[in-house]
Amino acid sequence: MLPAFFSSFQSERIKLRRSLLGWLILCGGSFVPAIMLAVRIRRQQQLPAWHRLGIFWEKHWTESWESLSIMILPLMVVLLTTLILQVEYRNNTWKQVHASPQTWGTIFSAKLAVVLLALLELFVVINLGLYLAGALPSLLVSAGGTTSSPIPWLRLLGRNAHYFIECLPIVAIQFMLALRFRNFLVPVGVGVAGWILSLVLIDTDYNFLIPYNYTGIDYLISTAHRSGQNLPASLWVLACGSFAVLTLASYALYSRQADKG
Amino acid sequence: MSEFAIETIGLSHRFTPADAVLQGIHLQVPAGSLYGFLGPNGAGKTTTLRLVLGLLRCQEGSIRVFGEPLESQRVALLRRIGSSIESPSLYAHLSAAENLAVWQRVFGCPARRVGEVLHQVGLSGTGGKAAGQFSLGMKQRLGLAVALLHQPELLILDEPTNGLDPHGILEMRDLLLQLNRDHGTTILVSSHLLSEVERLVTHVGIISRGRLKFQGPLASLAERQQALGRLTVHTSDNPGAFELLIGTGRSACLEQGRVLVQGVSPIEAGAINQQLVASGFTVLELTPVGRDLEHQFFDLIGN
Repeated sequence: MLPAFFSSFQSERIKLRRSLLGWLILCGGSFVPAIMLAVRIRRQQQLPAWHRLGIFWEKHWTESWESLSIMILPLMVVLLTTLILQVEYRNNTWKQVHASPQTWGTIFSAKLAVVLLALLELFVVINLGLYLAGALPSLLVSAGGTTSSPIPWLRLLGRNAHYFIECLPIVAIQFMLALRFRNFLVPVGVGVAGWILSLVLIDTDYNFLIPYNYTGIDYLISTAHRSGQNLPASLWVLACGSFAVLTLASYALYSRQADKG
Repeated sequence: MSEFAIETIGLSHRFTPADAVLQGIHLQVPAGSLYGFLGPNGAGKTTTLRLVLGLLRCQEGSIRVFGEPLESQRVALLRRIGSSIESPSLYAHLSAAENLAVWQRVFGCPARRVGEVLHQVGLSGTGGKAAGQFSLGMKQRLGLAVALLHQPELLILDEPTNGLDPHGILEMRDLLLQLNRDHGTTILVSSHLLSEVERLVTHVGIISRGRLKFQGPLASLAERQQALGRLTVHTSDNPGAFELLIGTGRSACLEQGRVLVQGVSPIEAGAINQQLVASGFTVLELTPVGRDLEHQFFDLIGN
């Protein structure tokens, strides 16, 4: 089973060569860091005080992740998932995939793994961009001083892990839609609608019902803007649980599809 | 080893309750044969091929490939099958070699096979050109290359010569004949190019409106034609010739001023000519009707 999975995974990665996926990850992941770089250079007078207090990276991180968690991540997951699954529809190659010696489970899991890897690559680009947005001002602008604040690696990695897990329900929903519908407007439209709805609910006690902004809810809780007491369980449990249920449902729908041409 | 590479028993399929696309298809593709699957548009050829490849769930009947049930042995059987259904399935943004590399990983065949099949189909010089920029003929060749990559025992090709020029059609035919002759590859070809199929195949299946009208060796189709062969006779006195032939027990009719004689073999045509001449008729024309596959095909689908 594992050798077949890895072979399928490799073939899925080859299919994405020369596609827009790389540019999407690069541009989407660099968007907020680029803005933050401009902000840091524009407000360079803040930097020496933050570094003296040793809180530069904490402040930099918190400010950057507000828009990332609430806006960029959910929308990027919608676009990444749709783009990856659209490769087969756009090229009319589903019939060749389904006529190849692979189980439905291998095909499904390999494609899901590619989506998760792309999400991981997005996180890498974001974090790299945020580091450069924090470190470059000190090189470009003399008034910024040196970045003497230590980087709280473990805390930042922990926050990244939180946000990654909280993106998983969106991955599952978008994966199910993009797998099922040939027209890319369906998953993108549902994804954007879901995100807007989650924004409407984000500051209410029902915000956990729409999983499109678990990352935003986590941000608000971590910055003490909301208590999180309305949540029936921790966001991690909600995210992992809904991801598992939605992925199983997605696989059931996919494997039982009568026409796989 | 099973006698048949593909065998379907009572295969039926409906896309809607009112639309029976296939009705009781008993397809039998002998192992090692070159099987031509013929039928007009909408007859059910592609639906049959998609069922055989597991792209459609089998609603009624059974499908066996190499003697094994498709439903339970799908993955193992697909490893022995190469296919190209409808239009070639190619990733337009990838080069020819990259397209093959996708499937080389899936099939687990050696990487050198990519270069080998590209050479085999005449696409070695395409380099980094994206497949989306290929001509229709080149895309058709690349689709065939994908099907040949893992050296399958069974090839299922849907309209493989579509888009090829006459030279390309000739090369495709030679390649398929060579695969069948040298490797014993069973090849199932669906096509509308009746003249090409006639020159290529050893067995024929003719489908019309979801029913298999004929199936068997090409030679038996020729024998059928001889048994059902017709002869157009034009003489100096067609009504008189008609009376003579009817009088000798022939099945004949007058059609458009000429005598049409039913069930005439080539030897009998000569005998009819001698009979008419001996009776004083001047034979102006003696034309066999419907000896080729095309006439057979239209006879069968018309019935």
